[in-house]
Amino acid sequence: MALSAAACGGGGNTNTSGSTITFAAPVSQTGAFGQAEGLYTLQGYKFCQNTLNAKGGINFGGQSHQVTLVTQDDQSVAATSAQIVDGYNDKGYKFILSPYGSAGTTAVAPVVERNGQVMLDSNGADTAIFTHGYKNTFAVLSPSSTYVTTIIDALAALNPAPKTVAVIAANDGFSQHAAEQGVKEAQAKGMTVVPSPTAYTSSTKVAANATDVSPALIAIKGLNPDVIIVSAHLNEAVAAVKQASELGIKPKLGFAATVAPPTPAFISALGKSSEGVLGSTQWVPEITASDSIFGNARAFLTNFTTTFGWSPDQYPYQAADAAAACEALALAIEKAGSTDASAVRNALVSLKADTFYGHIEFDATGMNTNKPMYVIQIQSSAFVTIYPSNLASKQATWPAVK
Amino acid sequence: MSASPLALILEGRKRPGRELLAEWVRTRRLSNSWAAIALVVGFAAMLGVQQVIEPGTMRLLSAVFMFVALAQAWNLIGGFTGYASFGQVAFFGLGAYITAVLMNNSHLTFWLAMPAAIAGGVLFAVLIGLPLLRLRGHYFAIATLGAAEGSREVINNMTPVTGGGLGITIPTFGDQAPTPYFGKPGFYLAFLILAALSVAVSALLARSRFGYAMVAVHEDEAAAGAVGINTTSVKVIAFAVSGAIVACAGSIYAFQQIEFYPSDVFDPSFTVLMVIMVVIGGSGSILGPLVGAVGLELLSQFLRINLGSYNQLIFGAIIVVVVVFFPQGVVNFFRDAWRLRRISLLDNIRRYRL
Repeated sequence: MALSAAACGGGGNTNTSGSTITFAAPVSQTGAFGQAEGLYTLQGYKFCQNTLNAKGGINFGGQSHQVTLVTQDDQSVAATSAQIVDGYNDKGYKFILSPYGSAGTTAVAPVVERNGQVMLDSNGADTAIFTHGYKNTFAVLSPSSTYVTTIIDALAALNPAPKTVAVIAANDGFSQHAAEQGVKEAQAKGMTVVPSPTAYTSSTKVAANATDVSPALIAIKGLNPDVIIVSAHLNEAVAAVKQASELGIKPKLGFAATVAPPTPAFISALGKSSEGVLGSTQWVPEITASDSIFGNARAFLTNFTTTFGWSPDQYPYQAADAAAACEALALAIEKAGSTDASAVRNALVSLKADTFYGHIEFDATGMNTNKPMYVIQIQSSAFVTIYPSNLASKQATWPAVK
Repeated sequence: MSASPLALILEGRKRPGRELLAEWVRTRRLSNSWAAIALVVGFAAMLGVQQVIEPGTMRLLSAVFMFVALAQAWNLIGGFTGYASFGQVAFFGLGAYITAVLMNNSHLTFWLAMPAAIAGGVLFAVLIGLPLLRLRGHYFAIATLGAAEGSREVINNMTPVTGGGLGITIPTFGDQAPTPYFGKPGFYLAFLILAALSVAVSALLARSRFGYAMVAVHEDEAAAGAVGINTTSVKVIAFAVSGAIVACAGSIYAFQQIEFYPSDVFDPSFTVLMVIMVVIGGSGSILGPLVGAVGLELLSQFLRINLGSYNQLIFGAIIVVVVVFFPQGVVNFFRDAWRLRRISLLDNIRRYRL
């Protein structure tokens, strides 16, 4: 595969076949994430496994090793994720791919650390995961601190740029940390945050996974912000857009949200109301990045969406995160030339890889900090990249609210 | 039936302790000691099992032991006393948060934080028990559900102390750790001891005068009051003992998890599982919650590991079927069948007019 001469397409692989290597992951097939986010992550892992094996597996020591993906449903419960990973350790599975989301990843990280396993984090972005000095957890995705700041940067580049924004944030670590940095960025760009810069910790804070966010909307009613930004997950963002129209609250320019807009579930939940909503995303197919496993970003999109029956206009970016995490692990094993967990960990520390997902390189805490975030807008039920401008496939429809 | 020393003390007989102990020892027979023997044998067997299983399996069984304790605790208030609480998870979350806050913010050891969590559980039970235990039936169930949801929101919004929705971490690595982490064998032992203690406490209470008072309150509270039972104190004590066990479970669970959020430890599904385990096993008995907890937790894990995305659906369907065929609980069904010498599900269906 990748690093070796076999990069010419897999067919020319002359290595003898070695033992298979197991990648193990707790995945959410039931519970809160079962129908959408957990599914996207699982599909990303599966797609990576299939593509890797088709390209000749992981090559080292003159042998090619196929990858076996082992998964178990964690019912979207963090404690169950942790328990599953302990069970994997009994079976000698040292290579872990993270469950969906920050809560599950947070619970698994200390387990991995104690067991001497290695975890590639695909969908747990909360910066708090990386403040405990864990040495065995590596995240390919950009951290929570960038989710709202990117939206602010995109808004500042639009015409007209908003002068006032309101930030509704869910009461979970990921969303609160994202909102905190976003408010700072908004102030740095000269925007006024209403009702107050700290409102996301009080009056515009909503319960995590809430399907009713009306108290937060009422707190900004009458203040007429130019843009309402929702720092949360799927449920809260859907509720915010839906209830805002029910309550007669209309931002002057438009809505923006983290996580939710670039998911197929957001469009299917909101229908026409999703039109024009901006969303920050970890990955877009317009980036100029490629590798020898998945090809370039556009090829990843085409092959992934064809395999799992998604429309290429509504692709779940979480699957790209998942595939990239799986790929980084495979690259590290190949680089280490061994399946010894500590050797692979050391290979991850010094890994510098250019992939379909962009450049992957971890800092001392295990974060892939140099990876940029992107912003899409939903136009005619399709994700349209609008920021940064050099990747923009179309002009933003702005103001998005008529 | 001869009474245990605890039961005699609860009955308030003014006799010296040595005499009571001597009488208790003298009256020991296999017929009145088999439960205690079974408990000791079971405990020893689980210690033996620990020697031959992998650490990850220990973690799985730790969860089983935890649910044994939780089900026994719920049975005290919901089964014996007849007050179906849908808010026992409040004690779990409270125990977890008291432990985490004391260990994280005040750097106290687990051995101080856990008793504090138990004390907190008892105090909370008395505080909410006094007003709420005046309600009956559905009203009590709804009020306790509200108390649990409310306590989660309080913890969720006490951000400076509890970390709120950002979660809380118990320091367990390096010299930051106030108590060295137990590891999987340690937590196996901790939950096993908790389970054994909760079974023992339930059994002792059930065989005491206090146990009959609980059942009397369950059967007819007005009549119980009329024969001189202080129903308020019976209800509050049962609620407090239950709260103490659940808070202790929450405390150990918090230490085991290391990092968690309010939504994790105030998850209403903990309460629901306690109720289902007791009802399916057989409420108002000691063996029922034990069988229910072990059976359902193992079944749920088995289905989760083997059935992928259908596991919760099948689990739910099994619960429905079991409740339809064994409305009095599996243990009570077999006990009745043994006494009547008839094992027939059709009888059961006729008897309960299904």
